[in-house]
Amino acid sequence: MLVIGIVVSVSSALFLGPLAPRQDVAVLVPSSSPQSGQLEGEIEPAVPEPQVLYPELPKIGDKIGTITLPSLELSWPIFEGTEEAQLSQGVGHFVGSVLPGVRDNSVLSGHRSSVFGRLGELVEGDLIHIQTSAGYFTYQVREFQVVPLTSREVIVPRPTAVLTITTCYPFNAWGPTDQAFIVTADLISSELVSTQ
Amino acid sequence: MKNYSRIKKRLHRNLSIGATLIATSLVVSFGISANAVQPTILMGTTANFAVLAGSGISNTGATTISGTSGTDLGSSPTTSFTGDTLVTTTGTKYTAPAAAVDQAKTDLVVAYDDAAGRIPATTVTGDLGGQTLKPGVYNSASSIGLTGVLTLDAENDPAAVFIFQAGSTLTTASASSIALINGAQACNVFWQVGSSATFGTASSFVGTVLALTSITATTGASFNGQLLARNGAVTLGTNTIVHDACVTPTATTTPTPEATTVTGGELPNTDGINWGLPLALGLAIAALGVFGLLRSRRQS
Repeated sequence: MLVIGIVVSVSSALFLGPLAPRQDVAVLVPSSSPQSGQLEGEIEPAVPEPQVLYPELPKIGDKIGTITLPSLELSWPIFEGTEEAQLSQGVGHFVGSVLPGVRDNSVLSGHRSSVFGRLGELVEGDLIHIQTSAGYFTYQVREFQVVPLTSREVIVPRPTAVLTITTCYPFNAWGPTDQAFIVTADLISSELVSTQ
Repeated sequence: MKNYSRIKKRLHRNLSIGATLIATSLVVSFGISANAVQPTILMGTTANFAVLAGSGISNTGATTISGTSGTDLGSSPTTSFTGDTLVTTTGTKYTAPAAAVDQAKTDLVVAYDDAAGRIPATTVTGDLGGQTLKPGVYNSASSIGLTGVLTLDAENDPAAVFIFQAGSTLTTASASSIALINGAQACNVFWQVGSSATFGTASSFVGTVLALTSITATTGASFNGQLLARNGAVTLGTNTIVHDACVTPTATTTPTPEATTVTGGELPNTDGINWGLPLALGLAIAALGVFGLLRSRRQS
């Protein structure tokens, strides 16, 4: 019984995480978008987008788009909000940040035990695609950081279009963590949905 | 070529005088107002530059420069440019004497004097952090500081101009930032600095900086605008500079402002595991196991 108790304690803790299934998907990338491996010297900064991309802001819980990490062959739905109700379904968009594609800091978060468990496998220069009602946006990974969960220097305004992805860290830690893994990526291309 | 340059210079000067006369006539017509309409400051050929200095440029770290307006870097009369290979730009990195840099420096003097002479001005003192300011001219007899967030509200006029005049230094704190709302554009924000400007680590700054002496951007500072040092040097260290041209909204669109990202937001909890229930369950079963073990030993 003692052994069973310990086993139940540990294993249930490990596997009773979010129920969202990890998806290994075929990655579809528009032919006009830059591909990994073609980047050096070819990418020009995206032309800043002055017009309003999202005439109406989404409500909490709305699905706002899809994020694709082609180098990891992963794709996840993005929901508005970063409470457990949204994070248990996929990736959450931090409501205090701009939506993807907009100039400023767009923040997405996800569980390390599900959607972002392999975030540490990304490398500088990898592409991240985000599709929303406004269009198809491509970001390029610039840097990685590990910060305390209490840090207030990650979710801040930025003068350029930046994507910030956060998840808890270390990825394989048992029990609660007090650190966060941060990926910062720059917008390098925008294919807007025509409003004509 | 010389004649062309001279004509251009004269034209530019006349335009500046014209702009000043318009500004003056507006003041006379409508009286002294803190938020009197200001025409933009004519930058001449400095518009081609994201970074311009008088006594050299020094860069340490990977600095990136981009934007829809000029992204050149240069210095005149001292042309030294250390760490230029670490700078990525869509424009030109001038490392030797060039007429384009000389001309831009001449135009910088005109633009600096124009910014310094703008009236009427609202007096500001100390730190601008936490304030929301409307278009106009703001003057500090001494230094200007920025800690936290300064918000510039264009009141839905994309041509609204903000001019800040610092008698001495401009200093921003680490992680400070400027938020543009209701149509405010970086291309219409100007900082005339009587001595030198220093930008803190990871700060996000907006506007054209016209410093009489030097400009220092510490590690991670990012800009939407230009860094123009009239007499001194510009020192960079792993910075991101975006220099965008003004955008004129088309008449057919009625843009509503996008929400902006908050400052100092709390990182979402992404642990994803409720540890309380499984741990309690495990401990309960383990306790039962210990109890059973003790009991079986006692019986034996």
